[in-house]
Amino acid sequence: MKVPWYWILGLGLMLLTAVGLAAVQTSLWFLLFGRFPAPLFWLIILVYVSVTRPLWEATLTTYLLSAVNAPFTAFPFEAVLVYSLALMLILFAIRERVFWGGSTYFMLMVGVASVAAPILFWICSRWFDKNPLFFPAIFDWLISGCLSALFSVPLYRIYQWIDKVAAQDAGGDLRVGPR
Amino acid sequence: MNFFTFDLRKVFLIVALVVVPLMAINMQRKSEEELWFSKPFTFAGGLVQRGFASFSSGVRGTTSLYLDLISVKKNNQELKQKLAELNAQLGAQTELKLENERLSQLLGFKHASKMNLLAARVIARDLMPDHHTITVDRGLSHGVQKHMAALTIGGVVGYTFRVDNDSSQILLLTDGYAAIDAMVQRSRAVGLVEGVSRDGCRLRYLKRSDDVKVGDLVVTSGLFNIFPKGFPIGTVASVDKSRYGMTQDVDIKPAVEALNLEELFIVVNANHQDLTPASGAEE
Repeated sequence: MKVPWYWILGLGLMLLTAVGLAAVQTSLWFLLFGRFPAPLFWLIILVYVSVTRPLWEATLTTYLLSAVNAPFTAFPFEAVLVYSLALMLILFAIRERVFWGGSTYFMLMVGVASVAAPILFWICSRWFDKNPLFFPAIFDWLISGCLSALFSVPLYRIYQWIDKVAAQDAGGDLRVGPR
Repeated sequence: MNFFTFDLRKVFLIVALVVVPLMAINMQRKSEEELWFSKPFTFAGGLVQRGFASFSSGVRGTTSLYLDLISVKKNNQELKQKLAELNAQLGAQTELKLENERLSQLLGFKHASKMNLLAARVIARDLMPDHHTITVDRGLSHGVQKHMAALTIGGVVGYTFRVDNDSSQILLLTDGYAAIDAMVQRSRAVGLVEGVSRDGCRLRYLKRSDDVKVGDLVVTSGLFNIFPKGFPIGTVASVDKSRYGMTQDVDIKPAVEALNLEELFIVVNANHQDLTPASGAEE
């Protein structure tokens, strides 16, 4: 069996950027802008995975992304995993119904995810926590969602480039959504 | 040709070319005196000259004004740049001054306390907007361990819950996962403080009969020597005593806005310090 080195390289690059962007969101943004809400880079990556990957690959990548994100939050790994998988499945289901590709579509999906994320977070908190979240920080989620939609376009380009590198295993066929 | 017959035109010519100039040369006239016939020309010439002078002066004025404007614009740009530089320097100086004041206060607090404190700088916050944690630049290599208290001069901040080699994550008092043993300073009623939202927390498991009023100070109980005893957590914002039930819920406004902090202390050892007014007079 041929080892898909380029695919592994693509996945590795995606995880590396996920670590870097999580650090930017939690540290660099905080040091530059203080309490002002940061764009949710982890969400942008999750949306990208959900709208461009087949289900098995999206699931695998979501597991890995949860492992990457968990150290940056008080939310326990199990909760992050369930939360991320649920969010991925919602986005995946939407993509199976509505898909036209491109950066505009991606931006729109990031917007949808920004609305779904706090609701799902609240549900997960009710489910997991002994002292559940009473009410999500709506203002923070809103600002972060808008910023995420803005940052999604350049990140989309970067991940498209990474996918181009990874697609060399598949004869240069770029993955762009449902087949 | 007859002598008396002469050509009048030649005569005029000779007079005009020879006689008049000779006469004019020989006239005894003061140089300042202006001839009557030259006056209109002088006037007209002067008028034109003044016109030219005025025009020239105008052109020179406009040109110099324009040149001045260029120079003013250049000067203005230089001054603006200088002002921006000075403003930046002033901003940096102000920032340094504020930092110096903060650090001086922290240093004073550290010297005055008998606790073993470790100063730390906040470097990051939580990935999720609904969780309230901060990361500081002190970890295992600096002697930090899990479940060490974090505080500042104003009050309790939280405690460490994840410690790496060179950094630690602190669960803030306001996070839903945080729980700190506490008591009401006035009545000594004991309960557990849990985080609710970014701006508040709640004192739970107080007995229904416990005496709590709005405005009461809630302090640490000093249990297990994690926090010093009697250190402020916050003030009571509201008391919810339901009609039936054994306990009452008390909303607390934290003494410190932990998400705004830049520096804090990690309590390596509280040394059983008691800060309650009665026993803490010596502190």
